Amino acid sequence: MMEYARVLAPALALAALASGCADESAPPASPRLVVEGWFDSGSYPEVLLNLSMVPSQEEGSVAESIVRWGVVAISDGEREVILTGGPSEKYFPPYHYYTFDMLGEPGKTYTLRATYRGMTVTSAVTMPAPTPIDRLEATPVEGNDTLRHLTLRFTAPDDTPAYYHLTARAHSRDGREYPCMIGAQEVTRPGSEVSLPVYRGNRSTAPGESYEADFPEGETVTVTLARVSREVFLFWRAFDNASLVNGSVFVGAPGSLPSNITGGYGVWSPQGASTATIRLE
Amino acid sequence: MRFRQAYTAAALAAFLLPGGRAASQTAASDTLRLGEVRVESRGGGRVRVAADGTASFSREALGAVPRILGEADPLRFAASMPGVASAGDYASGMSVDGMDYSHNLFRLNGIPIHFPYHFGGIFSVFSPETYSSARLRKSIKGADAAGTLGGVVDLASGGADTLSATANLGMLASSARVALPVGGRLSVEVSGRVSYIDALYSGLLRSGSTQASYNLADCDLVARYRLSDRDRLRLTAHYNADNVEYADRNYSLTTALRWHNLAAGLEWASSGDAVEMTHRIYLTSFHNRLGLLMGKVSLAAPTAVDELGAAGSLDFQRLPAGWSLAAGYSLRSYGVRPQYAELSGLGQDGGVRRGVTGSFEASAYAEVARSLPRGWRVSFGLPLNVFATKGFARFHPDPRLSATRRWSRGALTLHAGRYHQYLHQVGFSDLGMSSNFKIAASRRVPPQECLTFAVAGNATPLDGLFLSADVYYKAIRCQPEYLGAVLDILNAGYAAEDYIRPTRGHNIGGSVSARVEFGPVSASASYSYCLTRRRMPGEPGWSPASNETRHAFRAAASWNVGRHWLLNAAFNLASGRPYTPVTAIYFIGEQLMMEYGPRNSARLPLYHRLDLGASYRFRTRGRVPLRHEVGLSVVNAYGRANVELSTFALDTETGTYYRRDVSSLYRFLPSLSYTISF
Repeated sequence: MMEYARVLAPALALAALASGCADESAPPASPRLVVEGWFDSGSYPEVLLNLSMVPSQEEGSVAESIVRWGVVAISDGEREVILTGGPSEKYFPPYHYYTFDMLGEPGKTYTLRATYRGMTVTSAVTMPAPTPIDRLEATPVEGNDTLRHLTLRFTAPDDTPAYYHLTARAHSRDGREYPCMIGAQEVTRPGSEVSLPVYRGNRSTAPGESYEADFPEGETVTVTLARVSREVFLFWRAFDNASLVNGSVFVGAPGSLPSNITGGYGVWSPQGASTATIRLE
Repeated sequence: MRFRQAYTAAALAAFLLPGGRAASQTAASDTLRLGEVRVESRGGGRVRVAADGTASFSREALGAVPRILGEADPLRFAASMPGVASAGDYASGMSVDGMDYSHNLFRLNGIPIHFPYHFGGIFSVFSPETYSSARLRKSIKGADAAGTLGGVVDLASGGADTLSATANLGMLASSARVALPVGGRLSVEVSGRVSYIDALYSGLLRSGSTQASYNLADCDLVARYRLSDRDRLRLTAHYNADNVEYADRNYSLTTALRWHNLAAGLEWASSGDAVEMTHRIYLTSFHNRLGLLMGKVSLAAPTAVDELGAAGSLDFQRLPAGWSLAAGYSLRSYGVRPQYAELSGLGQDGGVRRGVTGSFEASAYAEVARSLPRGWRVSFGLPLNVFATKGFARFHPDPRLSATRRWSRGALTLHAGRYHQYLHQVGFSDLGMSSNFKIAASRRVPPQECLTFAVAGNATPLDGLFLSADVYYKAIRCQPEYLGAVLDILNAGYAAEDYIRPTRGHNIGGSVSARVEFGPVSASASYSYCLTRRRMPGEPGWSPASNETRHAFRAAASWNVGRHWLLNAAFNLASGRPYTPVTAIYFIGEQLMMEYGPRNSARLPLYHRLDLGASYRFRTRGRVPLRHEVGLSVVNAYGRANVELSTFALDTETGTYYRRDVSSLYRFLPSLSYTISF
């Protein structure tokens, strides 16, 4: 028995020593700037600029994320405009930056620069050409008389791969267009007909609202088909994935979203936009 | 126990000593014919731990711990052994000495079963009535254990010399088994289990806009035929199927998960004067299909592995005193279909259909052992492994050296060995769900390798007191880590290999356990420690494996009160499993998005749980004397809310975000069972 102990004891000591050598700890984080910005072809840029929240406590206030005094500038390579900041109930957190001094033109590269409290983030994206929408159709939802399912159809361009992102607004309840669920799509076969289901975006900020993927009868819906850059597509694909599996016990953590914002989080998307509106009878 | 029949000492040792084959090798120093002998086992009652850490237990051992939802389960019991851990209540798998779930090999009468769990690991697909004995090998494995880095769990069917039957009625499922001798040479054993979850619990499975349904079934057939006094045939067949469906009206989304195992094999065992041998051919397949239906969008992700194999072992008997020699082979031909997507209604229909990748894995081994003075015995084994698939082939000799020292009341084994694994399993789930798919080794996903150094031992300082301990160090190379997200399978040109990264790392740990058996009382306690480190190419630092359980303490006790009552309890206290923490949250599209810190760099809160059980046993007399057992058990008796997931959510009314801990549903879960047998 003593021999037994003589062999086992050093091995146990070695294991204990090794356990003391390394332990894991997450590095401390600090707030960073978050950009959700879009610039449709033929329209004006809009930017939501916020601070990320660092969950060091069990809970915290969303109010700490609002950036009221940031400076947001957009350059098309020839001139730069400074966006105006102001409150708006259309957004959450309820503040946005906008300008009517620059129209989006496909083929141009738009550089965004935002500054706040010594933090600066930048991003540059070339705006793709828009793809026309062929049809926006509504069909009854099986087993439900009051809902309509939307399908958007378009013809794939010749220069594939092409990347798209869908947003939609139900006029009676939404102040803005929201990203559609599974709204990021990659199209690889040129000239083929593409059909995309249009599912409402699910929001964390809709208190007590029971989410429905389809749209109610009688609603007027505007859908935007945005052709985006590959980096923007990868962001929205990851966003879709996180929306689906965040909070699932059975699927591992979806991972951080990729971003085309240098120095911050989020996405800057100058995009070729086509819009269609339908009244759901 | 008296034996009048002649046995070889090696065969007796293999039967009686813990550790099965490994034990037989260490004990088979002499070959002689025995007359009448008296054999006393000090091995430790229902559970025996051999000098190499191998744990063996029988169906009776399962009765000593509380049942879960009316089911006694051999894999749940194996997961309670020292050094074995599961990452939470929903895990479909077990980590043996810190290894990944995918590193384990599960076999029914020697036939591999690729996914041996029902949904959420609630219980395994193995019938404890048919497969009445089990053996778990951990870090120390002989040369016969090829193609796996982790634990090896072997379940074996018992005999069916007399007519017997058992029926068990549980909360979720009921099962029945019949064993029938036919003439003097043939015996047949049939068992089956079917659930009635949908029928009884459909109301509980419906909540607001969601509706879940789940059903499971499994069945087994074992037939034995005695060709002669020395030769026997054994036919084994197994089938199990699970069908899970979850519909959410709000999302118009239906998620379906279906899987099955189908296995069959024929074994010939021959016991000669010169050599004892076993040869087996088998077919085993595992198919899984994950389906998503959302309005007109339909997505299916089918995966499969079909394996045709042969294996055999030979124990040579006529050797000089003090020597033993064993040899064997295994041939595995498998076709693997990795995950891909079949898609319609979304964008351009299709998906990149994956064909079946054929692979061939062969291993031949020899293991020689020699007894030395002062109670030492040294064995050296050499498996020679060959793996080949399209455009890729590898040859790996995996030498293994063990030295065992025996005392009158204990034994100690030192082991060093190299192991390779060629069939990987990866996927979205850290909990080892069936959707985690198999993929064969290739240039892009190279074979996994593990160098193992281990010391294990057991001791019986007093009659009725059994001690065991082990320590190990494992260096791991090329463990595949899957980085893909669920929707990545929609990407044009998706190939699973693009999302797999080879990981290297190591495990250091050990365990100690003590068990006492005095009269009607049996009690055990164990402590296990495990430190794991993993690193992917390009990662700046080490991180723990997702299945690591750093500290685990377990205690169990059972008490036979009088002739009828059996009371039992099991307590489990363990470190929370590692998870990747949220380091920042922000809004995009008015949805709360999360930024994550270093992989597995935080740990869930402490896990603890007390399970209680009581059973009343009685017999009735009549034309057929019957044995009855009524069991009551409570899982998580004090309702501990063990956390399975930690994330953040938004309270829109107060404008605050808060930590949201999702806890296990296993909270004060009572169940009732009734078993009748003859």
